[in-house]
Amino acid sequence: MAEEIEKELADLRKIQKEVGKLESMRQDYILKKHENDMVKEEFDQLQDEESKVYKLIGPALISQSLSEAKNTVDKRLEFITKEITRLEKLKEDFLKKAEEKQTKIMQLQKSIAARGK
Amino acid sequence: MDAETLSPQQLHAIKGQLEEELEKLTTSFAQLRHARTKYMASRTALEDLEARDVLVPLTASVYVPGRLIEPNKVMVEIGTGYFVEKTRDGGKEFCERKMKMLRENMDKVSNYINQRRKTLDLVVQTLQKKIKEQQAGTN
Repeated sequence: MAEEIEKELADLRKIQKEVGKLESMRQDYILKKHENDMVKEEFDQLQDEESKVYKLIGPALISQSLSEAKNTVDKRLEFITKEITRLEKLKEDFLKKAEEKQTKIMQLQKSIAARGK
Repeated sequence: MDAETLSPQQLHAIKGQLEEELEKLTTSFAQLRHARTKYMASRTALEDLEARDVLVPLTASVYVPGRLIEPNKVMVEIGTGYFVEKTRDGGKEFCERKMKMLRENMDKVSNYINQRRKTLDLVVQTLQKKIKEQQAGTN
């Protein structure tokens, strides 16, 4: 019985670690989303469609058309938003699993206590 | 939530949480201020940009003479590796806009910091009171 609890506790810890990992990944994506949102805003503020836009690739600035740059940022934002929802859903699942484990552990502890009496 | 109703253990845990949060907030405040200083320096640099001879650094110790031929065109980094060509005034406007945004965020963060500090003070006071009461009880 005690062994079983031991095992369940280890599982629970594993799940909690996973949740932490997912959360930090989500935070990273939120940061990226923020940055890209700001870039998008800057692009949208440019009145002149002929504005010269350059992208930093390695140490070199490569010329790019405004529409292409806008497109890239839009695609990035789309991807990031999808990733955020995916990670949130995954986190929910893991949290549910953790909750199940916790109830199971409590039940096991209770039955041990009952037997001890 | 009333701090009076909590046990010393709970108060201690909350104290730790608040301290951790305050640390994080203070770090972000410093980062925001640092970013703002950088934009301020860029704006100042744009202010006295004019056609004139300059020395361009090739390495930290080797310079070559150069001449600014288009002091009215500047490249501005707008994030994620993208640069946009702007006029001098456009560049200044950009810096000022960013500084304003950063200032607003700094105000928000400092508000949070003040709130958390107040709560932390309250928690620490209550905790000390409770510990004294406990000691008085055991004596």
